[in-house]
Amino acid sequence: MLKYFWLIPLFPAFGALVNGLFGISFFKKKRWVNIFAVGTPFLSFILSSIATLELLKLPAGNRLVKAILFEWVPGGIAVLRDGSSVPFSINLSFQFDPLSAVMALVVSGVGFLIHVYSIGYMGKDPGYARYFTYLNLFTFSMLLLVLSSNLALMFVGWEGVGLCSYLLIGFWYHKDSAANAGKKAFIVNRVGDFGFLLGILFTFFTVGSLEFTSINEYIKGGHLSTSLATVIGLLLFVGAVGKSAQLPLYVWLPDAMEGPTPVSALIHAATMVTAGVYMVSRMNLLYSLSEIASGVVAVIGGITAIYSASMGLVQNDIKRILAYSTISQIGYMMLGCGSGSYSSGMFHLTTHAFFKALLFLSAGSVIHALSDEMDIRKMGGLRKYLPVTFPVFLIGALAISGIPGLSGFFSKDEILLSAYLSGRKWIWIIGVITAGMTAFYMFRLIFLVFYGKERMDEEVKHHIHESPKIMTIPLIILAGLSVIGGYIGLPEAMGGRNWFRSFLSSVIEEESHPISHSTEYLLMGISVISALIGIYIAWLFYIKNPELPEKLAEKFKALYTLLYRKYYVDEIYGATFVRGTLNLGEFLSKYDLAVIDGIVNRTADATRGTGSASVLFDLKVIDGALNNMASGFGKGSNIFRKVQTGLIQNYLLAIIIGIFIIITLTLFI
Amino acid sequence: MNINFMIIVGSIIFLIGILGVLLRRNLIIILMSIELMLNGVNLNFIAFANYLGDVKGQIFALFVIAVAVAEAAVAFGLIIAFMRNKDTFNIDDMTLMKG
Amino acid sequence: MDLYSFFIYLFSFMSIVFAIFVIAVKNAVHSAIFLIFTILSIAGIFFMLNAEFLGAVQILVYAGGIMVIYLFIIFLIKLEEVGGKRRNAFLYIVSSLILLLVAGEIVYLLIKRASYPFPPPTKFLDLKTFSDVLLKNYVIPFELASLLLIGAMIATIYLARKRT
Repeated sequence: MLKYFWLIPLFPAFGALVNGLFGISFFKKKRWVNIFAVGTPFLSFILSSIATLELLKLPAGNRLVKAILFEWVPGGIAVLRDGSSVPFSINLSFQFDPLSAVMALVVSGVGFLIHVYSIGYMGKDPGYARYFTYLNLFTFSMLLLVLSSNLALMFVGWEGVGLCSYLLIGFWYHKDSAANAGKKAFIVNRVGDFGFLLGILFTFFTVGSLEFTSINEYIKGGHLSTSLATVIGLLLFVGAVGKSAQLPLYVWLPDAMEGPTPVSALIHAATMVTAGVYMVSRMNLLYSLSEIASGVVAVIGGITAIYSASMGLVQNDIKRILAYSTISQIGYMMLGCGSGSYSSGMFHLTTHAFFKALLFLSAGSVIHALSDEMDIRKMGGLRKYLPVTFPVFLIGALAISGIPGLSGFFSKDEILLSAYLSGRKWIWIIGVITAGMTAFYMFRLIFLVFYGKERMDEEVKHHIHESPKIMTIPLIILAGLSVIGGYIGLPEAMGGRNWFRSFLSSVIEEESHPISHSTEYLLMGISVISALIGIYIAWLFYIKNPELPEKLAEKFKALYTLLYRKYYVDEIYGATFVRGTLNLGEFLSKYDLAVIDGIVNRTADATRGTGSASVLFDLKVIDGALNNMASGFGKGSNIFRKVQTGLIQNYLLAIIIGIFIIITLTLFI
Repeated sequence: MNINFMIIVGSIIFLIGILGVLLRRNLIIILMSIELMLNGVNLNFIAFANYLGDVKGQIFALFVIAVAVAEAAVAFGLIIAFMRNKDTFNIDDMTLMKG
Repeated sequence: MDLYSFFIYLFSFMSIVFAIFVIAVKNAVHSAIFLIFTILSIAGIFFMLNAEFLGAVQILVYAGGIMVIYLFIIFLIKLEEVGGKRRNAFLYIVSSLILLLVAGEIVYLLIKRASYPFPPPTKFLDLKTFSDVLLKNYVIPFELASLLLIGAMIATIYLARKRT
């Protein structure tokens, strides 16, 4: 079965195709849409699981399966940087190794749960079939991205998820805000993709091939210089910054919350935004080679983490808070990867997928229960109304805060450890502070939504109901994963063998810094204390002294406004880049109108002139020739008409002459 | 008898008849020239019948005479009908087929 | 020259001369009279050529029947003279020339090129043979000829009837 792993992306592709073509017309019953839409990711998940199990059976050093389907781009001969010539060809080929196995399992597994959830959440939406088509298309692109064996196919998947992100963010396209958010996402992504593409070109120009195995061999053979590695690493990271919403290309993610909540869960929490982390881990040999590149990755990750956590402190939209939280957590992952411990980044990616998806979906459950209310100032005391949603939400919040025992603790701990060990202590401090802020805003969310006074409108209160089982069961499953999922990476300090890291070791080469257990316990303790402080402050603000936040906001009004307005970054971007591009566009369009259209119009006039000339020519010359020929015929026939005199004697004479001629000819030739 | 001589005589009478058809304007004389042509032909037939000893020539000549009779009768009918309409027997005026 | 040849030459000469007169004279009546003479001359030739029956038929039917009708018509509708303008001389010259040439060619053919590989006649042509062949082998054309004559009669009567 392992050798059929390349079918994994094709199941959802098929689902997208069927639903895309027939979903609206044929499938009056939702059941059929569901079968294709939800069944196909499930099949992908099953196949991923089976493939992973079979992969495990292989010996540790040998866990790599490639499936080359066909030669996609047969090119000519390319001349590389060092002067050697190499045939340029890109194959449509897939690669299954521990890294892609992890990603495939996460994408298909969490994806499947979100698909199931969507059946309930989007049940009454008229664009039901379209939604699932896009969702399946996204799953297909994402699986393409993680299973590809070369940078080119990965880029295809990269672009594909960007496209689906646009389609799904702007799903309710008649809402202006949603349409604009979709555009923003796509354009900001594009900026990142430009860097990514340059990185790909550079890679080919240096290495001669885009296949990961070839690139790794090249690096291991020592051919890649540090400076080139830096350049390529930075360029590729630009793409990751755009796709994973890091500083400064993060601005699209908060607006992306315009899309349906399951979309936010899948794309903007669990999968697409983690593509950057996957890419960095995939190219780990490259980043390890360049101090500067991995340093940039770590620093940007860390700064993004604290920066966006700070914005999340004061937001009032339940989904926005989670969005900023996502940006912050991905910053953590980048921090881990940049500090040399790619497996910790991947570990956090996995656990984050579980609890962030859980958080988003539970938020969706809350929104659904409150008839689409998203402002947390209008919620409160929902604990008693939502008996299933509340506990799972709490579990998610605990996980993300890094409370020991749940998955988030183990993964966050790994990252902070590696940050500490990388030598950049100040980044570690930032990470700890961010952990505290994370705990704070998550529990602020919990306290404001589920505890305290009920601040809902009366109308809304009437209709409060717990979500149906089809939505709550995925929540429960994700909650379970959030709890136990961390144990696959149980560090040695706590008695485990960090199975996750050893699983990935065939793909990811990391130095393991031996560290004494006591130091590790100390560091763990510090991050836990930071989290607990955060929770305590949240309790203070929102349970004990509910007026305290307002008073604080008054006192530090400037700071509060700065945070609330998200540092005015959107406005700055709008004034500079957006305005600049629009102005350029206007100028170019005027140029187009004046000059180009002018040329076209003059050409049209010239053509019309020659047209009338040819009409004249046609009339005078050609028609003239025709008419003259006709009249010539007339005159000629007039001459010949004289033969028909009507006098019989003339006819008879003609006959006689003819006879004479015949006789003469017969006689004398 | 010398067959060549008889052929020549018959041909001459025939050609004189054609000359008459070509050159005369009077309709009746044209018809008479046609009779002349038929006579020339008959002479030819009889000459060969005599030369070859075959009676078929004479029989054919008999039939030619019969046809000549019929033709003359119909021609007269036509002349009378034509005279009623046009009141001319000048062949130069009979140019309805002109053009 | 023996008598036989003399008479043939005589009758041939007469028929040609009279034929020329037929087409040459102005008056239609004269033309008809000359035609009668031509017919009679040709009948004479027929007699010399062992075709007595045909000669008799010629005189009786042709000269006695057809020409008489011709004269009747001429007198009845006064077809003697025809007026009209002078004709183009071109026509006369060309026609005569052509026919002269044709005549010349016929003569040439006969003298230079003709060959007569036939054996001399064995049968003697007489009336008995004639009527035998006519009424045994060619009875159908004979009957058809009578039909033809009836048809011609009807046609003529129809064409020439008085219109009221």
